[in-house]
Amino acid sequence: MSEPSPPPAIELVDVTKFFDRGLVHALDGVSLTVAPNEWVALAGPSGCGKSTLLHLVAALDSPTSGEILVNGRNLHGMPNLDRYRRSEVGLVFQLHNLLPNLTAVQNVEIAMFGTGLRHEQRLARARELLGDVSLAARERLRPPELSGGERQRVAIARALANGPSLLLADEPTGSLDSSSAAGVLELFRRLRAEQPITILLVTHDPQVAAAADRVIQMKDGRVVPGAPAESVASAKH
Amino acid sequence: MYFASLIVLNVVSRKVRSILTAVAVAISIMTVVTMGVLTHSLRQSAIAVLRTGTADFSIAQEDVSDVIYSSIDERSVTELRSYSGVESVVGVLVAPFRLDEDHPFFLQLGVPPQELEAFGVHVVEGRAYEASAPDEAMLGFRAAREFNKHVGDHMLLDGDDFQIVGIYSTGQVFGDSAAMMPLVTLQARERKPGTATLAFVRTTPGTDIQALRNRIEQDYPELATVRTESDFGRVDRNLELLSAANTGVSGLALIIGAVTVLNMMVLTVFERTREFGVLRAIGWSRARVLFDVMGEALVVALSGAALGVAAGFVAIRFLEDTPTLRGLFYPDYTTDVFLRALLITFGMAGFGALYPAARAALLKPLTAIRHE
Repeated sequence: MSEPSPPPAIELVDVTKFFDRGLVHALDGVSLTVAPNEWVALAGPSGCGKSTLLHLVAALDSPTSGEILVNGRNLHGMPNLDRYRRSEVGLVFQLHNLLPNLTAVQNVEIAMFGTGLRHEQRLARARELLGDVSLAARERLRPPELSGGERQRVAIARALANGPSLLLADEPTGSLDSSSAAGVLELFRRLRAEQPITILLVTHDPQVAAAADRVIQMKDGRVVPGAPAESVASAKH
Repeated sequence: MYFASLIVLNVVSRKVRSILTAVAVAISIMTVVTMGVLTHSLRQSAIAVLRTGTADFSIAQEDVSDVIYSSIDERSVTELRSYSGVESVVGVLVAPFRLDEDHPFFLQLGVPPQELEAFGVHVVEGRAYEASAPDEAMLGFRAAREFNKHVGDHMLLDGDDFQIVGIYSTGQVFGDSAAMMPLVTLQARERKPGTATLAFVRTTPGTDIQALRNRIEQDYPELATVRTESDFGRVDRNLELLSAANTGVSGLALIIGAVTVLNMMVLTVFERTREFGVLRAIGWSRARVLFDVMGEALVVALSGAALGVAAGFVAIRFLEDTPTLRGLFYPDYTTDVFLRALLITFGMAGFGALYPAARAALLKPLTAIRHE
């Protein structure tokens, strides 16, 4: 008897999200599935709803209707969304959003508050993660002393602090020069090669989207079926 | 990094604001400590007068502004001696005068020599004065030390020359810093014949003291008996007013401190809105955000309180040297005063930070992240 297949990492079922009392349809009946350990890029023009979708998966906002399941569990009615965000999700923003008065290693450490780890354990883990993103030598520097690419790598280390199964990145290369952006994408590739992790990346840059296993094209709050970008990416892999 | 270190770091990173808030808290706490020590010390000084000697309780005129102005008819003192359960009643006249700039409140106590023992006075050097000697006095050992007077020396007391015939001890700072002379002598000098300021009652073993006090107060409605500190307000309205002012000052300090902390924390939370959004997005709970803000307020308030207590000590030293209080005010630093200051500090931090902390904790992460 064969083992049952694992549930999808992310499953959206007919999800809508309206703003301004229903005047703005940010998401309009979106259904999609992301397999475990898959790297999916959400692409599309500004305002198409891709960031909104990412925020819903991160439980930073709730849908107007529809269901969002992560690793088979419905986010609606999940008792502790703080714990979900802390332990199952790693978030990377377009702007690094690091705390400016903390050092790189402290920025990573604070993501582990409330996990039950002791100070020494948190520090060791933060150093290990900074080593993984090639910033071991820069751990004592504060964000203003780091380059844009380095800050984003610290933010990625922070996102990985609690070993999430899901990495959600909202335009992570949007504020970086091309060289730093390539470095971040390379880091994502290496991450995927080294550990099981599902990546959902939002971008409007086709070149960044092309780095993913699969591209989901969005427009006007809907998924565009069979869009060229999706087929290109699928063909590449 | 520890959570507490993060809180301290946040305080330090906003130096000017934190320092200004801490200074405001310090001023409030300094006022609380100074007023607290002043009130308590003055109260203790006044109570010390009532407790001079070994009496079980004292009697004074009820509802006078200051216990020093109490007036008891000596005939009442005599009558009280016949009460069942009374071992002795000593009528004492208390008369303060300005000795010099450094001693603006020097006490003269008029006590009949035959009642010195019953009053709890021990002659430690020389002898007691004669009952009707118009120019003999004794000095408390503290006063003798202060003025470098010895048995046989002379001293001017309120314009009259007295020979110091003995040095005494009562076990009370106030009594030991005074001069003592025959009751009739002091009554004559003060033009208060047949009058005592206070009466000190010693009871026989097994006496129901409370019942005796009740009876005395029933028979002499103009008099009040004082046994405990809480009774004291009945015979000294000034100190009661000072105590009420002290309570009022504490309340005001709490309000001023809390508003200052509130102002600082509202600004801080507004500035850190985006940061709180990020922290909530990476998994911080509402409670952790709440503790972060409350902790920051507490660190600032406690720093200010430490500064305030230190400033309070300096202020008390200053008051101690104030001519009008010299000799009347012996600082008594009780834990009560500091506990009250600590409680007020926690109150300032708690009330001041509650609203901003709740506001920070209830922020929607996404809205907060988008905050400019």
